[in-house]
Amino acid sequence: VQLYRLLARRSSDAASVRAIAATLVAVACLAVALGVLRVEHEHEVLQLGYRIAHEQARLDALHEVRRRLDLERAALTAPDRIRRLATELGMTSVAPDRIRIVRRSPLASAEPARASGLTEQR
Amino acid sequence: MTEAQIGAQRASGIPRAAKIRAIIAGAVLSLAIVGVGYRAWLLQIGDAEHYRTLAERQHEIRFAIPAPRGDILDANRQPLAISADVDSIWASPREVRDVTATAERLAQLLPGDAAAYEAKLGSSHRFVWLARHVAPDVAAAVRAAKLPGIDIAREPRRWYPARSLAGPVLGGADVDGRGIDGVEKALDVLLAGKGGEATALRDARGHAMFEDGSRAEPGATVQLTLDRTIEAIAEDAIADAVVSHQARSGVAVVLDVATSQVLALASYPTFDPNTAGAGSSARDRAVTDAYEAGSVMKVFSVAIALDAGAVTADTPIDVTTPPYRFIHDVEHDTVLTVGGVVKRSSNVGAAKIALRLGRLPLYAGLQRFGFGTRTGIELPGEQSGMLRSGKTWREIELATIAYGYGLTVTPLQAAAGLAAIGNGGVYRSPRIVARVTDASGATLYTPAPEPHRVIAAETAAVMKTILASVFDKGRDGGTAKDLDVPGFRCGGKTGTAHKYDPVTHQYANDRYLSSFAGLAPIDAPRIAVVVMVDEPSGGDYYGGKVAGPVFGVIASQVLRYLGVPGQSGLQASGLQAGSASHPEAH
Repeated sequence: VQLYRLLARRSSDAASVRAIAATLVAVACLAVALGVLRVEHEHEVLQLGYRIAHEQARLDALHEVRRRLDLERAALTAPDRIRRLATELGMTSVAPDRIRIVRRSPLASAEPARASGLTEQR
Repeated sequence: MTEAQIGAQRASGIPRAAKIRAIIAGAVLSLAIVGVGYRAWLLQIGDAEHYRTLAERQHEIRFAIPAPRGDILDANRQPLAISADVDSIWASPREVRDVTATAERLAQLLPGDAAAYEAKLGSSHRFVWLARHVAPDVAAAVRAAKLPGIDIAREPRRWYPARSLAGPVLGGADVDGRGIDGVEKALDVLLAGKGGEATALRDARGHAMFEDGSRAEPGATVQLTLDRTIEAIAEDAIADAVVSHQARSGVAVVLDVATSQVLALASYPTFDPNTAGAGSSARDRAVTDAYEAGSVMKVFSVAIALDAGAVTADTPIDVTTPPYRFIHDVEHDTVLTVGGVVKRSSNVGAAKIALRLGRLPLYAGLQRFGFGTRTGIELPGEQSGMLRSGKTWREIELATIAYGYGLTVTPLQAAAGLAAIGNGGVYRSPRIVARVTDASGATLYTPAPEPHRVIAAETAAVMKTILASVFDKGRDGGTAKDLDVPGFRCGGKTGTAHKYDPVTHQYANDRYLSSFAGLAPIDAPRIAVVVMVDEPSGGDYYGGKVAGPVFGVIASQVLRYLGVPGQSGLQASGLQAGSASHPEAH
């Protein structure tokens, strides 16, 4: 009844009614905008969740690939396999007295650095 | 109605009936709004918990994240054990439509009979494993069959890329990734890691979206001191010896003299831990088996006597008159120096030296060398060996213990004792784990055994000279005179022990333990090697002929691998293992 009375005001009171209506519309728009923002936010969270799950799965897959490659490399370089291949290629152990251990001289190790201009001044 | 109200109605121009309808409509609308609001309140607030639970049940999935088991690496960080995912077949029995037909189809695709699968599929469980760790082609076949209620999961499996290499040392892990023997068992807590649990949202298409949870903590990485190349050398050498001499088993231990770190622990028979159940007859004999080692123990009894000042290296010992009738020598010597007792492996001489030394000093010395107690190596099932208190020894026991009867030692204990002599008289407990690190690289465990002096440095130097003399050539040479280590000068001691028969309670005349303990190169020892071959039955049984050549092969190849320069002028044409002309050494 109050609302009816409010809306049934005389033409002289019309200005105040419009102000109230405009306020209500503005509030409604604000509420809708907030709702849209919230939905947008939720959507973004969802999308990020999917991306995290996807990237996590990719990371796990890469870890797994790395493990498999490590495994493969270890199997390929296993001592018994190397020995078998070496034997097939006609290789034999060298007699100890025919082994000469060559140690890199400090001068030789300094050469590449000097050539590249990286020699440290002392 | 008052005059004023009639006037107002006239002014607004709204009839009374319309007003009433408007009021009623307003009231109805208000009630509807209140109703909707109440319902919304109930949904969002009043019954929120109930509906949240329902939604979570529908959209949320919780799952355990298994922790990847840590790697086991060798001294050069080469993988010895590593985990990688494989396929396993599982079923959700409630979703299986035709149990019998599905079981029959599975029996065609997987190992096992239809009846077993039918029993599993007929169960009331929500989840049952059908086959774990199947080959990729088998998994592909099951996937292609598209059987309702049957699915494939990826789960980690333990792999040992070098196959049987160091099999008894590594031990193996079961299908659930639990260590069952060896390093896998001893360090299971560290290797296993900590599993995580995650909660994810599932959309209408079933896609998972990570929401929250604890990540799995991968198991720690265990780096061993074991070098896989040295292990391969030792395993090949001991396998050749066991096969060629038709022995029951064999073991070879290689230690770094300076640190007592284990470079190789080779046992034969061995097993491939990739094959489940293959290790039932094999074990890590270097730590699980204790032997009456025989003459190799003379090294320690003589070293203790020298260190105690009971004798000197040049003290003459009459070896023609044994202290007990049953003690005799293979060689027919008359008088030997203390060094000569070791060189010629005289039981009579060793017994007489021990009798001069006395019970308690010998017992204390053997204890200092680590005999009678576990070394504490990071392996399960280590034996302490048997060394009774010196106070209880009778004189005859004192005599026999001096040459290796009446006490038992593990090959690892013998190697650690020998390494102490090579290390200038300083003993370090042998270790096989170099370090344990977590996923971030932080060190969790580094063994730091306390070194202690067992004999004086001077005594150790004398002992090295004596051990080198065992390789002396000629008629009066040592018991390893026919043994050549190509390119290197070594020192060592042979051993041939009669085995005790628990049935007859006597020492068997036809069952022996052939052994050899040596340091290489003897001038500046890098490695200590102990070789034991159990019950050789191919004709030869003396330590110098059976175990000695194994030492020669290991020492020569390992020193070359370690970059130790060989000496020209020493025999380099190969090992003369089969040409021993005087093998009667003990």
